[in-house]
Amino acid sequence: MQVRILSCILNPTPLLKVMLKFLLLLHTAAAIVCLGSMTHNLVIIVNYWQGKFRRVQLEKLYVKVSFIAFLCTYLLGGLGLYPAFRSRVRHLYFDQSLRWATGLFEIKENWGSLALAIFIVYYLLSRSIQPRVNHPLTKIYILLGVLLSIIIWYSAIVGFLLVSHKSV
Amino acid sequence: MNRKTAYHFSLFIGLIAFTIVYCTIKHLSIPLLRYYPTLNQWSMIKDPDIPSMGWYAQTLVSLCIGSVCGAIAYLIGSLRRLVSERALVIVGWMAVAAAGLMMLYLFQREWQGWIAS
Repeated sequence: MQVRILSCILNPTPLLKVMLKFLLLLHTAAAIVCLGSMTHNLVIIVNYWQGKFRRVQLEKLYVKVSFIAFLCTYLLGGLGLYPAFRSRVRHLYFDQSLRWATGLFEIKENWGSLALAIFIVYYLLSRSIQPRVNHPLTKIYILLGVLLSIIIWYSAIVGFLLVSHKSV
Repeated sequence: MNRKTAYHFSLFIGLIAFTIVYCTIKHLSIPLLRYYPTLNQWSMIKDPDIPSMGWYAQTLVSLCIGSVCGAIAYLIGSLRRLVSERALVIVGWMAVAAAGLMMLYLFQREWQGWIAS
């Protein structure tokens, strides 16, 4: 493999630094929207488990908002920030002196991909089932929502924690 | 099996296939296309001295295989009455279990590799 280190990645220009910070800000904003709407969604679906089927349409709206916000967060993080993070933050800083931070990030990264697959299924289920008592898929739908909420909360907390140590 | 049941069946099969493929790639360290951000190059070769990212290909391959499995499950399910309502629920629970187990597996793997070591 031809080894030709791109100096702009390791030593970004001031303009690139500003763009990365802006992307990070957008990534954080989208993550907050996703976290908020998914948590509101969780509050409603927990009631489904107890047989209380109120605010069903609102719950479907929360799923739609959180799905769009999740896709924005995922794409901004995965395509926009990850290459710079991988080379400048993780490789030079976390891998050398904060291995636990790399571990937390790796869990976040892999859970994020799993969340993408779960979210696609969850969103399509939300559009096609009408939760009610004895609906065979209602409990499965609730559990998928709980798993998604765990991943989103974990990712948000770890994201804030890692940025507080070093960001792109 | 009506079309809606086949549709739900395909979603769960797709999710199960995704989790299996994603974990298998991770567990067996199957070589995939890697991106080298400091070089701005893609390569199948893993060079441990240079930071690289295999996550793109891993996610994309898992999503593609999951989608194909889901599509096949939909075609089979909508053409023939092979899957009952009860089987749909069982497959749904299996999908939840697969997702939960994958979370635990990935957590344990990264914990052992980076945090506990």
